Amino acid sequence: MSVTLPRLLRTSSFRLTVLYAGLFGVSVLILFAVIYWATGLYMTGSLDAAVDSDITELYDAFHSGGTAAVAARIGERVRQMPRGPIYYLLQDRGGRVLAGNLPAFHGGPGRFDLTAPERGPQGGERTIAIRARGVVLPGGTYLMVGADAFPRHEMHELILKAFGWGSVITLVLAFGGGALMSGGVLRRIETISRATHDIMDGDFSRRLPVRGTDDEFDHLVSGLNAMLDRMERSMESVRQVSNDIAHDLRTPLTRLRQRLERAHDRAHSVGAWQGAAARCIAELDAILETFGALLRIAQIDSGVARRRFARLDLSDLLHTLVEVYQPMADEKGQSFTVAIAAGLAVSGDRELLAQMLANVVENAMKHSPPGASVGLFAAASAGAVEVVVADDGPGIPAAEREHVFRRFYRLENSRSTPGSGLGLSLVAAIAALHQVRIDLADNGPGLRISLRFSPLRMDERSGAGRQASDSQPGSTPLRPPVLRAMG
Amino acid sequence: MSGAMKILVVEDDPETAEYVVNGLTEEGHLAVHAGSGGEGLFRAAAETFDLLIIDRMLPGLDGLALVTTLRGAGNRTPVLFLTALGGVDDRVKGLNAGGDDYLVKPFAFAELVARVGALGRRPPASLVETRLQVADLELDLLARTVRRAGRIIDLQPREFRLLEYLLRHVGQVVTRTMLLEHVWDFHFDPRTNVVETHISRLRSKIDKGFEPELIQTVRGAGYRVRNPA
Repeated sequence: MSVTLPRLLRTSSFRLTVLYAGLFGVSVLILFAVIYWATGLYMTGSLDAAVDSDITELYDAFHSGGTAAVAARIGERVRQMPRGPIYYLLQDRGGRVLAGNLPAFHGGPGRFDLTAPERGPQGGERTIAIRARGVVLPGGTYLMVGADAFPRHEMHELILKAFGWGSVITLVLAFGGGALMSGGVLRRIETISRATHDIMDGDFSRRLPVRGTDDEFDHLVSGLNAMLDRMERSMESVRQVSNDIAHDLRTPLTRLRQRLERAHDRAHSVGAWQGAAARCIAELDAILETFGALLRIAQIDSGVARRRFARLDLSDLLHTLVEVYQPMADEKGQSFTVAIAAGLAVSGDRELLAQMLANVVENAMKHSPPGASVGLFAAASAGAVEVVVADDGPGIPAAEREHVFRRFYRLENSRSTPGSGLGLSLVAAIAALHQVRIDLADNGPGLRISLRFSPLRMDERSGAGRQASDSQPGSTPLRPPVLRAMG
Repeated sequence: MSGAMKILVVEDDPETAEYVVNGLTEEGHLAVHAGSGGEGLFRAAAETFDLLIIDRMLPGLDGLALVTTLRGAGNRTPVLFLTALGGVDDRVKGLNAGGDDYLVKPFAFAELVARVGALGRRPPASLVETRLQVADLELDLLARTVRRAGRIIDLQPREFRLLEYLLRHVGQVVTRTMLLEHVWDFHFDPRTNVVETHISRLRSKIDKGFEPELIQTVRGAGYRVRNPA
């Protein structure tokens, strides 16, 4: 993969780097300026000190021997060191040079930075910078002592050069580092972006690469992957629904068409037409019911309902179901045994949970013969609520148990009972939405369906005083549903 | 059907609109059709209706917004949503927006007629009844007791609610789904004949051995408590 330069320049991390480099450069500049200024101050100070000590000495000479003594002392000094680093000038009131190696100066007393021509060692003229101080001796003679300012100049040069190189290195490091850094970030984004395009092109099983460094990118990528998983499942369920509709609604639709065709061709009396119409409406209602159930399963699978989850009293809901289904059991001559612990709390959608539990209870009653026993038990253990529906009917062979939650799956021996074959699929969908674990087991004989809710989270438990005490050890244990001994 | 009502049907599909309007007219109601949300809002605001039947998905102003607007303007006319949106969320949204009932398409006409009847003659909310009576059957809502011909009849709480619902809609047809929704709070259709079983139990308690028979079965529609008076 190649990251082209203009692209690199547009990345936000690179722009950030430039900003940092700029800020860093400015701070380095300020630092150097301070150093430059302080060094200059220090160097000037030491030059002034050297000049001052000479002037003090010459003053002493003036006090002891007058102007002539000063001139003699200067002459001696100039002989010893004709080219600095200390320069002298002694001139009389009229500006005539009495001694020294500096040209005549027409200024007053004070400190000056000045340049003076000097004859070089090889005879050439050169200009030297001098830090000088001029004083007027009693009697009007003017004395000036200057120190060669070259060391100060040299120091300034050195600092400027250091600053120049320092800036270059700083900028190179800042930009290079920024380029490397943003290049790395950009490469990771580029991989993600490429994977996204693959997914958009239809490779829905493709996932974004996780590097395993557990950094922010890994967090983002695993979040995106989880989202993709969820979306793939939703799409899978939509695909499933369309397949189901295509395959399993075609049969009843074909039947409907045949009935209409027969009525069209052969029904000649109003009575025959009405009969045919009634049969067709009944067939259509069955189709619509199946259609509705499929849509409902798809809707549940999409997980939208999870937003409406609230804490609810499952015991209360179960008692309602018992009230609803007790008469059904009575009518069928089945015994309905119920043991529900009080105050069982779960989090979920009341309407969907009612449908799930109703389907399971109906399923048990529908597939058990008259005289059979159906049991409904609910209790909490270790904070998790478990609902068990057991019957001593024909049960489900072990090999078929995993299939019964599939859409339109019907056991061979229950084909004669009315039903769409979607009841348990709906149960499975609602259970999955609520993170309820379903287990099918042999009740010897019969079927035992266990629905185990995941424990409420702490925040869902607030205010659940009764529920909390019920989940303590020592509360109602789940009664083992041994139905053979009953009824 | 007693009690002719003036009903506004807001529905954009002409065929469905015709089916509903004709059916309601045959039932003796005065049904008026509006083909869009805007027209519906205009008519509902300009005239007085006993009931509004509103499609959820309308071009322009949708049904939900229409009802929200009406309710916001203080219009309390009962609203029945008629819709192809049958999801759990959709029903809750419809009722929250100010709808009084929700019927998912496709529907049996008998179901619509029954719900129209139930909505149109709802007593004002201020009227709190403490006693319901039909012929010699008395229901005391405070003491939660039931008497027929002076004899106390023992009903279970849910049977009491079932009878209460039937008596509140005396003379009207009440469908299976209406009973499931209002008596048991079931918003789904159980595969089994739960309602039939409960009605037959209730009958055996309040009608067996008494004359006349109060709970009638209306074929293809539901049940009705007849007021012989």
